[in-house]
Amino acid sequence: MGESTRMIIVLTVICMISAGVLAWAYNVTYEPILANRARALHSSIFQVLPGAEDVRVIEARPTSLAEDDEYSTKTVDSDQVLLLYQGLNANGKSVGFAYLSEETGYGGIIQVLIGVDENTEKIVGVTVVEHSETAGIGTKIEEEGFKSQFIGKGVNDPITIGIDIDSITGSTVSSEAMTKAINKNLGVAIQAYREAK
Amino acid sequence: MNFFFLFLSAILVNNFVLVQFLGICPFIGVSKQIETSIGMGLATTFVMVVASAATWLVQHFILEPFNLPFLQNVAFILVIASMVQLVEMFLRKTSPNLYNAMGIYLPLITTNCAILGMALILVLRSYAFGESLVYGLGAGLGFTLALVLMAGIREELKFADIPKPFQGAGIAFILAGLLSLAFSGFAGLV
Amino acid sequence: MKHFYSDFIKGLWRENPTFRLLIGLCPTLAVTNNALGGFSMGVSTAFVLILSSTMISLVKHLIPDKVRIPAYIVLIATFVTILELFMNAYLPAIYAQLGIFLPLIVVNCIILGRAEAFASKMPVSRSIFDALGMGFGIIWALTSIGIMRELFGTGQVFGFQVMPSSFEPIGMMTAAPGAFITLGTAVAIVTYISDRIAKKHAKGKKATE
Repeated sequence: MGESTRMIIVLTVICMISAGVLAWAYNVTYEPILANRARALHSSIFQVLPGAEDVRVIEARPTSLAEDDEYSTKTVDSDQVLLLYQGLNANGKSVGFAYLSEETGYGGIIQVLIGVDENTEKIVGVTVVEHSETAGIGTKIEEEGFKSQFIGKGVNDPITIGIDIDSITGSTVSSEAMTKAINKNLGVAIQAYREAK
Repeated sequence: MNFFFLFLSAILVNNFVLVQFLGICPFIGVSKQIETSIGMGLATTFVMVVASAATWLVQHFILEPFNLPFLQNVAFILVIASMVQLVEMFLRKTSPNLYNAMGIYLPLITTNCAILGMALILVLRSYAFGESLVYGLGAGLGFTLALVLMAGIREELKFADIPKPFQGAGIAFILAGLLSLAFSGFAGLV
Repeated sequence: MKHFYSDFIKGLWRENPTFRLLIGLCPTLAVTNNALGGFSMGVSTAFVLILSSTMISLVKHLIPDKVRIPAYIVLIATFVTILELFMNAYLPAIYAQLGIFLPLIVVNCIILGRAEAFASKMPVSRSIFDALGMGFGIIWALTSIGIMRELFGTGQVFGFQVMPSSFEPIGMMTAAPGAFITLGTAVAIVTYISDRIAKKHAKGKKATE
């Protein structure tokens, strides 16, 4: 057997075994990884909807856009299915719903989970689910000081940097992205929840 | 994303060596002289740009369409190793002097975590093809910058009276720490 | 039993990969901002090192010399990916903390370096002890750096408050500059102690001559 042939065969065999083993490992770990993500999502939902102890998933297809107002960024992204996570308290009554929204930040996508109250339709909780922002700088969007600015806001508030939200010094892009993520789907989500309830 | 800001942030704000801790081994090993630092830095930059294109193509035309995320590590490192091999062969033919001067450092570029790190980051941040190239270029130049800065200081160290335990790697790390402190001033620039 | 003891022990101090050989430095600086991160990365690297060295030593005769580096790299990348997948499934918090540096174990010079220098030439049994020694060496090195940085940077160790409340944390320790400075100081300390030990041995030798 020629030397070159031997080299090619050995490398190909190694690659094939590697691919096979990895495919097996991927399949074995697929369910647990998905379960972990779901668990993490649930714990985030309980965080942004105080009083919620159980989650009911609603698949909403918003049929109408929220009214156009001067803060019209609220009407984008209404073509997709919106997943609304209804939080139920210990008595089985709904305390509100949570939904995911994302916007490209500095290091990647910032994904935010927003909790909206059942009755007042105002934001009661906000948490960052996923981000790749710079440690110590962009990660400050996770701090209470920044997040608390969004609590109590509703569809009629501007939710815009410079108007009613202060950005974090040194992380303009991260702050803007998070604010936009919260702002852009709020009206649509509330509308969709009203229809789906 | 704005190419200029992407480029600037890769070189300064998120400098691969001094902020993101990628490429430390060659950073400490090669930065003793300015000349070798420039050579290693530019060779690495070249490989980075080529690798950013190659890994982006592999990710978007092979790994994603066929749903093979678990092959990312193996595929990327094989692509990078091949790119380095190609660069080696290219240098040997076109510039034998440079090839000999680089010596063992050339194949070592394969294990430079900065290259694999860059490839993983551009997938993580879903950069487009053009953005990936700019990012690779910026990352490589930032790496070169860190290397040359370090070499400039270390060349002067010959005349400094350093306590024995710190000589060599010890003082190099402390210096890197000071450089890193300086670079943290760029935070918030972009 | 021959060389097993020396194969093992050298990785712990005399040829400690982090403090003496100065290889595999990227994760040493990046994830050691707290003790748990340092410990997890140390164990992860040791895990891949031991498996890779063992496997490479087992198949070394089957792989033609010219393609050994690509072959070793594929093997190492496979083990790292398996570690990644199982960690994501069963230890998601640590997986998130180690982040991008988990896949970067693939190009960690320690693993490829030991494969080249030792596992590809030595019998399996000796390779295992060599990998174990290096592995434990990495674990204690990374954990100790993590402890230092967490202690002075936040006053805690492994999340437990250690420093008195009057202690003012040095934030820089958990950030980039602190990493470099801690490592530089650690290397200097290890060098100093090693030199003292070497001097003592030299004196001892002279006395018995």
